Amino acid sequence: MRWVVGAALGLTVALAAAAEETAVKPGLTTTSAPGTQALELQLPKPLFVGTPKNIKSTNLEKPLPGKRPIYQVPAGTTLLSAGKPVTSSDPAPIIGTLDLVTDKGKEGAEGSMVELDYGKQYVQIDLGKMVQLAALVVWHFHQEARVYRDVVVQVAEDPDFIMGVVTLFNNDDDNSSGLGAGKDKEYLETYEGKLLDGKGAKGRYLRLYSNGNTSNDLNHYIEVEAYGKALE
Amino acid sequence: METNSKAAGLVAPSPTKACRPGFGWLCGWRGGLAVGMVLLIAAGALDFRLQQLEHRPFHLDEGVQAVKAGELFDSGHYRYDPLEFHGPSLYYFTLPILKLSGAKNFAETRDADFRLVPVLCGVGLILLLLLLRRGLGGVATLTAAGLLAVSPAMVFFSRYYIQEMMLVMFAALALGALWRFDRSRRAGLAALLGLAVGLMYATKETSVIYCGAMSAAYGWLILRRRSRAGLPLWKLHRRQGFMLLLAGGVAALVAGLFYSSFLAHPRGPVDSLLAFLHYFERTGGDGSAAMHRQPWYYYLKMLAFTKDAPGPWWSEGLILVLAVVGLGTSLWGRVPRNNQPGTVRTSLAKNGSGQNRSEETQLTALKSLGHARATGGPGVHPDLALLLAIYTLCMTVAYALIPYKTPWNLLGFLHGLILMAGIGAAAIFHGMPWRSGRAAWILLLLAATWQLAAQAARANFRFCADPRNPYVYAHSVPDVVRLARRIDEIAALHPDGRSMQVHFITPDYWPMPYYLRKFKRVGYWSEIPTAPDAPVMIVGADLQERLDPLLRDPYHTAYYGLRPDVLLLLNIRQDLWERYLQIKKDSTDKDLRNPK
Repeated sequence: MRWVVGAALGLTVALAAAAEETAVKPGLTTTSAPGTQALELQLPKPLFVGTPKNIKSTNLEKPLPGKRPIYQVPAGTTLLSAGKPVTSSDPAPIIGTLDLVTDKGKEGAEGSMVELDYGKQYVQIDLGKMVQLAALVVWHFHQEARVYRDVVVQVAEDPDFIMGVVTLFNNDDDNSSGLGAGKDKEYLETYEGKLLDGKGAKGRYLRLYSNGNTSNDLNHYIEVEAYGKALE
Repeated sequence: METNSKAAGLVAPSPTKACRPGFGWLCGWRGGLAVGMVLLIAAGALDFRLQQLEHRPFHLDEGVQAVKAGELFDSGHYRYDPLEFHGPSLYYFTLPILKLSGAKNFAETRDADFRLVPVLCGVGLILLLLLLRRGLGGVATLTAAGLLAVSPAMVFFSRYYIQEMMLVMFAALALGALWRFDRSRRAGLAALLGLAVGLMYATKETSVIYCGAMSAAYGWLILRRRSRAGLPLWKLHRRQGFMLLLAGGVAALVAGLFYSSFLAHPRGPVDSLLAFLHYFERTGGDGSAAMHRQPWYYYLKMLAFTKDAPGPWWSEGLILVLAVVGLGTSLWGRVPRNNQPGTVRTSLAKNGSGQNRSEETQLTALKSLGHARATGGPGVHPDLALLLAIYTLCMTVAYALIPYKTPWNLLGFLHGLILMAGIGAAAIFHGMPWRSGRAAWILLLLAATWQLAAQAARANFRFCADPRNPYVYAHSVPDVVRLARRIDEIAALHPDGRSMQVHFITPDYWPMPYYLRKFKRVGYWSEIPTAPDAPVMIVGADLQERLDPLLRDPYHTAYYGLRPDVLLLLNIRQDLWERYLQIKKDSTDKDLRNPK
């Protein structure tokens, strides 16, 4: 009997924990769960309308047939990156200025995009304090069908990316950028931006790498938005 | 009589009026200095054009032309196709360069071997100014040379392996020969004119537009002269007829030799004439050419100001503004004149003999007086100014009216506009009343030319394949080079090496056949074949979805760009991809263990 009661109690606790975890786990969904809220994004106007294709490849992201479903994030999540200082591996961009990365402008038109030099480049955002990330949204360029290469997104506690480095996304399949081979998929840029799971990672600095794109060898950023909660 | 002669534009002003004190180094040259400076500019232009010649990926058309030249190089055979590819001269003139490059076959050639041909044509265009130097005068010649050297469009398409720069160079040769023939009426120059026209026709069918513009300009000049001299307008003298026949005969012979593949394909010349039926349809911008249909102001807008999307602005407005001045002064007879044979004609007219002699006799008299070879004054010969002005106007209007437009087609009339810009610069220079004003004008001109050079550098290096560059048109993206490199890396792991099977399953694949010229077994399908599997497949993004269920083997897939908005999917058989990753990892580990 004690075994039965113990097992029932254990099962109840496990189910409750699982339910709790399910409730706060962020992700793409059509329904909200307790303890979460919909990530509200202000999207720019679509600048090109490509025909989404159902590509089955294991290492390419299947383009969504319509709008992206609502993304659930933990309750209390806010936009942390707006107006935050940006530095880069290319301190003198070809076009635009680095502050455009966090200025909330996403239209992709004149004056809202920064163009960085050839090859592997990164932008780094100082969020000002330690945060716990829920989601990131990245707009590289959305005037035409384009894929950015070797996209790697990392968060760290220090500006030199030595302490507490967490890789949130890496689609450098052949390690050509030297940051390790990634298993994430290549994706087409759209006006909706690329939404990345923040994985609850903690840190203060965000670094986003890319290594040219399918149209040219340059690197572009229209906007980066980091969502999460500030840590005490 | 003197009044009449002046009205006829035959009287040259006193040389001292045009040549101000202190500018003798410019006005008083007698060849050496001017030739030296043109040679110096040409050398600079050559150096500029040779920089990073392989940096820009091959455009689709460059790829097609290179493959055609490669076929001729490998097989020694060429057969004119009236539907595509234009004339054969580009391929034949590429042969010596390919042979000198040391390449044994097409597979061993390099990008630069092909692009050296338009580079030399672009520099040749500058050197051919020497044929016009005595008629243009020093300032106009040097200004035109400088603008030809640094005009962004001229530099860009001087590094572009298509027919256009060669066509413009032969047109410049024809203009030079025509002008020199007009001065001397020598049979050799008539033959040179015929050679140039024959080569123009052997280069591209649109040479008929150039020839039409030249004929209209020269015809106008002759009629104007005869009208002012009171000579019969339409009478053709026996010698003139002979010269015409000589030029036409040489042109037909040269074109016939090229189009018949040097007599190996006798039907070629006939096909070249039949091709006009096809090209007339294309110039209308209908059917498949509809995508190239543009409004009449397309080229002028492109030259005046372009700023598409976030990025720099582009303008060859300096050339346009100076050309408008040059056109105005040339058409209204206000050019700063030199002391060329017009002076002698005036003396003939003055003594009363001019009215009674035929034009031919007058020219014979000119020769006998030893003035046929003009000594070259500081100004511009009004006849040459008028000839070039009408030619440029006809070319500009013709290309504006043709609905089919691509950026490289502007080169023909841009060449004319640059010559007119030279005349415009000379008009302003000689019109300056003060020495300081002339010095300031030269400095301003140099600064403006430098600004064009900076744009040319931007257009040819950083923005060489970027659609924000106005001369980049449906251009291949740098990914095509990366794609070819990745296929090569995979072939190195395959037991068959470059005999590995590569399947292109896409209607859009040029210039990849050029980049994969070392591969022996490459298949191209515009639709999915029944047995699509191959170690490497390159598939159009639209076809991948239908292809996936038909594949036997697993594949690693990656996006590659072909042109802006045109994506291909590179499918590498999974086992090959894993081997590739392993070898790369081993190599990285080895480097880490043994740092240099």
